[in-house]
Amino acid sequence: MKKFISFLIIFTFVLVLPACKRAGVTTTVEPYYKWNVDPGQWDAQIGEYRPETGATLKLWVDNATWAEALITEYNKYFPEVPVDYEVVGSVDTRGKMELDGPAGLGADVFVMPHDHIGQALRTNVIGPIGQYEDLVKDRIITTSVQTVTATKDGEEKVYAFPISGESLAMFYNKDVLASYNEEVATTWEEIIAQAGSYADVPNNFFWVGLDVGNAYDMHFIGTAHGFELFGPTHKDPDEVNFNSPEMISGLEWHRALRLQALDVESGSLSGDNIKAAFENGQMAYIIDGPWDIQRYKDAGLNFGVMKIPTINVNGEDVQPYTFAGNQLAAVSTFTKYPAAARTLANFMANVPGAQVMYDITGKLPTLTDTTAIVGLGDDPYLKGVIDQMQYSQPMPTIPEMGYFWTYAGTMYGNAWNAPEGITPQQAAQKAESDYNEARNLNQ
Amino acid sequence: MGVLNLNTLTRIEINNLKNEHKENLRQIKLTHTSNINKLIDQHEKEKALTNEENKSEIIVKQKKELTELKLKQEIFFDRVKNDQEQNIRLLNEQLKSRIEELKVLAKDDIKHKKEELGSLKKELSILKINMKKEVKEAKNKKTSFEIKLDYLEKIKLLNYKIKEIKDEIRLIGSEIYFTKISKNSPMFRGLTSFFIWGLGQVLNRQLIKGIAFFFFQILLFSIEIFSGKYFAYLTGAIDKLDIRDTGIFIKGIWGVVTLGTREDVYSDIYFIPGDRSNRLLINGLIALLILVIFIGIYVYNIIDAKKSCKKQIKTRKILLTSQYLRELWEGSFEYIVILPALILMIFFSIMPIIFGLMVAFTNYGGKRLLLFDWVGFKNFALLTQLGKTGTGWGYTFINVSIWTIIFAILATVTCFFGGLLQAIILNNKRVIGRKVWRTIIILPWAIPQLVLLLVINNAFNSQFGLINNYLRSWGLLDFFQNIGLTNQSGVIGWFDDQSKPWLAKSTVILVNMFLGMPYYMALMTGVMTSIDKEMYEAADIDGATPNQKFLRITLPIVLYMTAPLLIMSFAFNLNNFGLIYFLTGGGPGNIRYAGNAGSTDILISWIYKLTTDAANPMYNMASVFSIIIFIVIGSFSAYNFTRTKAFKEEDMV
Repeated sequence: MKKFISFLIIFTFVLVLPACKRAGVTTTVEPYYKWNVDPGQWDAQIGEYRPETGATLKLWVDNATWAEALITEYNKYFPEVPVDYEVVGSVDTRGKMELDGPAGLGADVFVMPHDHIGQALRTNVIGPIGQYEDLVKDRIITTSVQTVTATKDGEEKVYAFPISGESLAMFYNKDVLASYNEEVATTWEEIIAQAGSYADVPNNFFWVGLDVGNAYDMHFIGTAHGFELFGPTHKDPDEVNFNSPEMISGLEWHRALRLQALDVESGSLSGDNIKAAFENGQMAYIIDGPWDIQRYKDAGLNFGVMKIPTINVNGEDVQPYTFAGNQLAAVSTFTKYPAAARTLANFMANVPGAQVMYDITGKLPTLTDTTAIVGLGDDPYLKGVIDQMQYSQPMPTIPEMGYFWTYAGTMYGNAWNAPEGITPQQAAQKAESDYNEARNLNQ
Repeated sequence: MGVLNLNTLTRIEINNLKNEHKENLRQIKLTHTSNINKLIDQHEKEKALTNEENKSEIIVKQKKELTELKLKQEIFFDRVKNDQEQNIRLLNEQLKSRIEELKVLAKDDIKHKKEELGSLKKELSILKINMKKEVKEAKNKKTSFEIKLDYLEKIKLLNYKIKEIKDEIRLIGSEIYFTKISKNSPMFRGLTSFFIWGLGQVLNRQLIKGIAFFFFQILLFSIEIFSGKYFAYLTGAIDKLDIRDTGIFIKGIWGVVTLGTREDVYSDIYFIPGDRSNRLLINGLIALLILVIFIGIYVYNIIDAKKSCKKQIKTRKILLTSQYLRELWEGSFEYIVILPALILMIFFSIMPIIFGLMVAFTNYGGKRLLLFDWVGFKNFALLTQLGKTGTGWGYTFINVSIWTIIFAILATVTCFFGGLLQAIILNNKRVIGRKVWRTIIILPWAIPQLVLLLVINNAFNSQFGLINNYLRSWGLLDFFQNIGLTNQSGVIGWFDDQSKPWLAKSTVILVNMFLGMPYYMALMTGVMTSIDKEMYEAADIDGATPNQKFLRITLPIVLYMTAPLLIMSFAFNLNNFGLIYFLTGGGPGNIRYAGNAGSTDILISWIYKLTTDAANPMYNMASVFSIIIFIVIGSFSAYNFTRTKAFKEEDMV
């Protein structure tokens, strides 16, 4: 015992050094951060804030080339604001800000996917955008603005700048269609009928491919049948509506699709599987997103992109809606230079910033008027995505979306596979009760 | 002659005197009792001689006589005793004054010795100057060298003298010191260290040690003071001292207890960050760990002050700090060497574990990510909500747990005995091309497991996978359809048949065999080749059959050597996250499970799913599961390890 305690003395000697240092340089969080940019800072004539003198910014984006080009372009307009950047994956920025923000190490402006916005507001890492709100509403397409519009403390507000939009669309292989002498289909009924006659299961040839256990990809089925996620406002967590007649008829259509066109278990139909099959010419149509355009281009595929075909519901051809997804530029709550940070985020969502983004990443800008973007009008692939975006709905921003992804995915999978013979209705009921149970558990 | 000697001498004198006195008193008492006895005897005789009428008279007379005698004797005894005490007191006073005199003398002595020391030092410096001068003035090298040697000899002598005097001074000093020490000193020194760290040590004449302890006290308080905003408060820079402005210790303890109380203030024009419970908890833990160390030092400081003093009384010697440190270094070398590892362990391993444990008792997760609270055992109680509707979390937890254990047992046993079988076959001399076979079997081990698992996952894809496509092209699918192994699409759903979860489970075990057997094969081959050949020769001579040789020699030795690995492997498989997560991702889905658990999910992979749900992480529940896993694995492993023979006899090697 004595030995041990004596040893503790020496041990503490070693501990003293870091402890001393700690005592000396303890950094405390600034007591508070002001966002009430001096009204004089707002220049109504050009519709921009004037950056604070001596402002320096830190930017988190997922692509170094883009960041460099963006900063060069930004400094043409705001030469007095030096910007530093770090490469952080856009899905990681929010989590990193939660830790680094209060410690004073976070970015002033960062890019994140729009479905993180609910959580970001819950953990208070993003701030409002001030005077830019009206400009954003004017300049950017409504569905995208809606993805960044959230209610916090009872007040609805725009909380970030949508910089790029995306939606799923129908990808089709022109060569495969040509070899079967088929025109590009405009309805699902055509596709299903063709699939029934052309599919060659033993040789892994399927006419159409879907990532059937993925709630993001399968959302078009629900919407075509009238499914309203979280109610008509898409904001009410009590109205998940899994167990609604609309969703059940959607799931029945889903199950029928399997039996008629794609008789494969959902576990074996992952996104990777169908993309590989599409690339190999084993599928003529798949549902995919603009992020894979480059992949098929690189593979030398002769393909086209169009909006998702209509589904016949109760004798009516209904255009399915997809989720509109966005990448956002957000301003940190912990920034010391809110005016400067807002100018940078706004710049990313404005024409010059959008041009840089399109040139380097090939992503689709969210501007209402895209004619100013050089090259976008001639892009045959993005045109299909833009067409579908007219028929897209903003993804809900409430945190319960996390449960939706999990349990809707399982629901679509269960309806597809019908394990132990469960009906689409039972699958929907289970999803609804799981959703409620998970919510209760987290109350 | 020193104070000490006289001191002890006088003490011995006094003690002798005391003993003498005691003896004296004892003798007196003895004579007194015999006198009384004699008187009583005499009275008895008198009583016997007298007649009945006079008896009462005589008894009264006798009683009187007896009391008189007793009184007389008591007075005498008291007088002697008082005299003797007076004697001793006098002697003690004499001793004290003698000691005082001697102290004065000793102090004088020290003064003289110091003067002497000063003059010696002066002499030394003069000598040195002279030496330099003479060496410089010397005619040639040889004479200068001789002069130098001469001087050096003198200097050496002088130095020796100086040292001697110094020792003498120290000795006299310690003698004076010991005259002051009494029986109550250790208690008193401990008490002084209780209030001011190291003060007892300073009184114990261990100045450096005392200063070191005092330094720790100063350090403790200064860490608290400088890490807080006390100065800002005193100088008026802030007008109110909030609990959040205190130093790391007070704030840390407050943080752990309350987990924060202030919410963020978020408005259009400003933002005031409130408390962050997870930060408060971690900072509090760090503060508590540092505090525990300080308390350890504090307690040791008190004990050391008391014990050192006791030791000094016993040995009549003062231990110098340098001697103490040397003893410490020699006595606890092993602890000093592991120190860096221990620091790393405390702050990188133990602290996170404690943090994880604590989270299980909070409601951290879901909507409560900034501020959360202690909830006690509420999270554990959630697990007991067994299957209310047949889809509850308790039902899922129990079934996933059962599968986890079954998986761990099967995965371990199949790999172990499969590897044994492979090793036996490959060790048989009749097998041709053994090295080639061995290489082929060991190949999966050369490829990163993650890559291998993803490839296998693709190979077992029910539609596009290699295996089903081969089976189809060989026409075997019909056969499987007939025995009811296929799914509704007419193919074998190795990993995705929701109606046959056992199929996915079996496939997982099978894949694990493929991955795990080579290790055991290699291991057991090694063990088998190291078995002494003479044993087999002896068995041959005794006429043993090959089967007997295998069962009585090979198998027991191999099992004996590899049994501890069996337990380790079991513990590993209970947490074999990689296999499940990358192979099946927990699938196929199970319509009876809650919390998105799949049929092949083991606890750890389910925990991963729960905690990494980006929108609604459930850190508290994940922590509860971790604790349960820890209890199961920890107790099981510990119990078995200590029972394994090879573990017990590790010293025999």
